[in-house]
Amino acid sequence: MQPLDIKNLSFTYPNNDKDTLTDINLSIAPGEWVAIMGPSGSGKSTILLCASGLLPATADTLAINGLDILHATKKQLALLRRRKLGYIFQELNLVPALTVAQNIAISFTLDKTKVTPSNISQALHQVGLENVENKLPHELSGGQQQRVAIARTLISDPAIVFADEPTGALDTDNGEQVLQLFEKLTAQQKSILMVTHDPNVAARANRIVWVVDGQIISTLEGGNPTQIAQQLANIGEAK
Amino acid sequence: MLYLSWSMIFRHKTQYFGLAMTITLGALLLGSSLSLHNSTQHPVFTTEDRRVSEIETLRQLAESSAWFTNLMAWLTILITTWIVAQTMSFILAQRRKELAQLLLVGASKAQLYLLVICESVIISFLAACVGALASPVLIKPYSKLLVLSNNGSPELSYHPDFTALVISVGLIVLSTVIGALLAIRKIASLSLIEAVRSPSVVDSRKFSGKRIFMVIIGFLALGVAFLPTGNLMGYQLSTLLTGTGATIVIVSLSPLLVPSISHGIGRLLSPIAPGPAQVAQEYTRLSPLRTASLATPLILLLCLVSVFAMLAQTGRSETYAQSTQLKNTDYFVSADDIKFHPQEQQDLEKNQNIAQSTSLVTAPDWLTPESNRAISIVAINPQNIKDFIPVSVREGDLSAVEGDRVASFSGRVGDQHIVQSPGGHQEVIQVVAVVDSNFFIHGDYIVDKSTFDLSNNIVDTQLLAQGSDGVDLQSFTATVHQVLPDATVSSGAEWVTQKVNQGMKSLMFAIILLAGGATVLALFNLIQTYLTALIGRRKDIDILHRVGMTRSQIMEANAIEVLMVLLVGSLLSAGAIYITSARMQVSLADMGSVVRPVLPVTIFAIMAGICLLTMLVVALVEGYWLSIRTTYRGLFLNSHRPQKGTAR
Ligand SMILES: Nc1ncnc2c1ncn2[C@@H]1O[C@H](COP(=O)(O)OP(=O)(O)OP(=O)(O)O)[C@@H](O)[C@H]1O
Ligand SMILES: [Mg+2]
Repeated sequence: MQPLDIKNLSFTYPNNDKDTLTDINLSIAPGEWVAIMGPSGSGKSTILLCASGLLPATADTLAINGLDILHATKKQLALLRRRKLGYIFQELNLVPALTVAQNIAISFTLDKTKVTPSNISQALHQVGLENVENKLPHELSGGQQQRVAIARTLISDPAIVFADEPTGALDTDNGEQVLQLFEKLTAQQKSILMVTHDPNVAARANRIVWVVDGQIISTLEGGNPTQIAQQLANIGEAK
Repeated sequence: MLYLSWSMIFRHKTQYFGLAMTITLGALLLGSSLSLHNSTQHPVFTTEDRRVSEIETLRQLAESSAWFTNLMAWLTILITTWIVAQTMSFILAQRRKELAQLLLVGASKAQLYLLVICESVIISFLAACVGALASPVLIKPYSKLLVLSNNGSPELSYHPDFTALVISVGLIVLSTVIGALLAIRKIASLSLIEAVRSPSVVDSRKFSGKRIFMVIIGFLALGVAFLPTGNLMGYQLSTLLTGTGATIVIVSLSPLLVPSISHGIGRLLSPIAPGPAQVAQEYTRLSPLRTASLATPLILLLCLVSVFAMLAQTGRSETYAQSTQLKNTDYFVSADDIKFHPQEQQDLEKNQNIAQSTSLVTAPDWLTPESNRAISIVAINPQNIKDFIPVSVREGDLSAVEGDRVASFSGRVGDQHIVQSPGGHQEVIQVVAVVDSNFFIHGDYIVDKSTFDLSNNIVDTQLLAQGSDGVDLQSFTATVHQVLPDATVSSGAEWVTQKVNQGMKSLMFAIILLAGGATVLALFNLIQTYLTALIGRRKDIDILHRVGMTRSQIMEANAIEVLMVLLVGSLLSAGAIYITSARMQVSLADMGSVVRPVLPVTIFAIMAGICLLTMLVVALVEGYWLSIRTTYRGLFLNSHRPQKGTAR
């Protein structure tokens, strides 16, 4: 089953006259890591939001883990988000009123199942955090909050993880840590769709799609940072 | 889910604390009202040493206390539900992001609703238990107040009632849940995208066709207030229509009213404080409905208190209008030491409906030669003793009373009585009017012995007493004191004034009690809503602070916003009060009264002043406190980290 399948997706923000996204086609295989790159304002975040069902797009096909999310019931969508999706954004990854442990266990709580405290601390250990179970999100730094969000995706076995500039606010060390965790996720056959501006980060992905003015203009597989930086510069000039 | 709710409550304890206080207060009031109500249903009269009129007063007391406690219970339930709905929708509005995040990680809407309901059940159960347990403490002073508001008549024995307390906990929990359900529609429109992006600001100033239609419908419904009810529709139905109309008009007009007020004040104050004026203007203008809902506790308070005051003032003028008709009464005698004959007391205990009173009063006037003045009789029917108004005419017309000699009597219009003095002098007196009164002895002739059977509506009075007409107060008093040493004698006019004042005092007392309760609840709600609104804005204040707004400018902005909210609230409530007075005038006219409702301008101004002060204090203190807090970066900066990296 394909974690993500998008065919001819378009989207316009309510108070915009111009299409923000036009004819987006994108499929992601299990365990595949895809990066979206492009100039600022080109619609990268919007692709992510549409693909993950946060914004209501129009498309011929928009399926996550085999579920047609354009025609699914609300219940199906809730269950999909609960069990099969992971979200890692730059901020607002965690429910502010819940402790770290509660945040990690939230999908289980909503499912009326339980997750053992040792599983939680194990997941936290994997992201390099210790003894933060009972802290509230605002007591953690931005990078720590992001890693808690990653711990949540580690524990809940999603089919695909959506990440918007996951390293954007992090220093090199923390960013590297996050990238290693992403590699761990892909090793577990979890797919990743990620937006980034950083050629070094994008180079870790299996595939890069280039977005300009709301359209995918090309795809690059297995590029190294220099190649990617070069292409980014080309796109900038072309504009 | 319960566990989740519990931790949510715990995290939002500042917001929920206020809500819990309201609920506790509600349970306290409801618990004691229901307890007292229970007591009034089974009044215990001790007949020893009590006059007939006292038993009667006790009965009235029980009745009016039952009425009052019932009213209080209903009011408490309604107001609690309303405040909970109000506060909850504020709390939910502020938790939108958090709730959207729960949606994002896979909660369904139904689970969110369940979460909110669970939270409200937990919080209301705990708070209501506290309130109900504390309510026996309130019962004593409460019953004292009831007694005071009933002319200071003897106390009924009140006792706390466990069942009533349990019931009140249940009712309060129920009304909280209903309030929460009313508030839940706030999150029905919640969308996933709110978890990651701030909701787009909708400019609701546009006056759509739908809104114009609603305003027209609302005004049509409002128009009913000014129609005579008579045959067209029932009083209840027309009141309902009026209320609905007012609500529709307020809701649909506020997007127009609020921006214009905020614009006006903003323009007015911008020469003095340009920055704060603009900030306040943006806050109120951009979300008119939110501003209007900030003003709702204010509207509630102003309306409740003003309507009570209007009722009281109108009642007073009605009372005076009627009492002046009785001022021609000569003397009034009252005494406390009229005791029951043992046999009569036994009768009384056997059958509480039969009461008897005996007194003997002589006045020298009766022995003097015939007076030149005509005598008229006003017959009094002592049963229909209902309210503070001293008399109401049941039959005949008081204008037919000739001269200034009035006797109290029983009978019907047209009855003739021949009264004979010990000296053999006879006089024919005619009953010209029958009035209902709780004060049934006034006049030249004093009723000596009256027996009334309350169950069969039989009043039997023997006139034995002598008239007192034309005698000066001093000598009359002397005569009376020979028979009844403790009796107080006062002139009729004096007595009527005194009774009216007393009646007014007790009415005012009841109104102050009601209005006071309403004020406490509403002020509390006002503080809470406003505080919650300000706290929810601390991120904005943080940003404003960072871009260089000073603390005093933040405080000024808050104060200007208070002015705007106050103006919105007072305008809307002035409208509501005017409509109520129109309603009252129609219903008074329907009852054949010439009295017009009195608009409570002073009280309105005082209450508006109190609201202004309260909100100003909250605004300034909160502005001061928040701007201090923003300087402690660590406190909440992490949770509101501004976006770094690329700009969106
Ligand atoms: N809520 C909105 N309403 C209307 N237009 C919007 C909204 N959000 C974004 N846009 C527009 O949509 C376009 C794409 O925005 P998007 O956030 O997807 O860009 P991006 O590629 O993620 O940029 P960046 O690299 O700066 O994050 C932009 O041109 C922006 O102006
Ligand atoms: Mg973006």
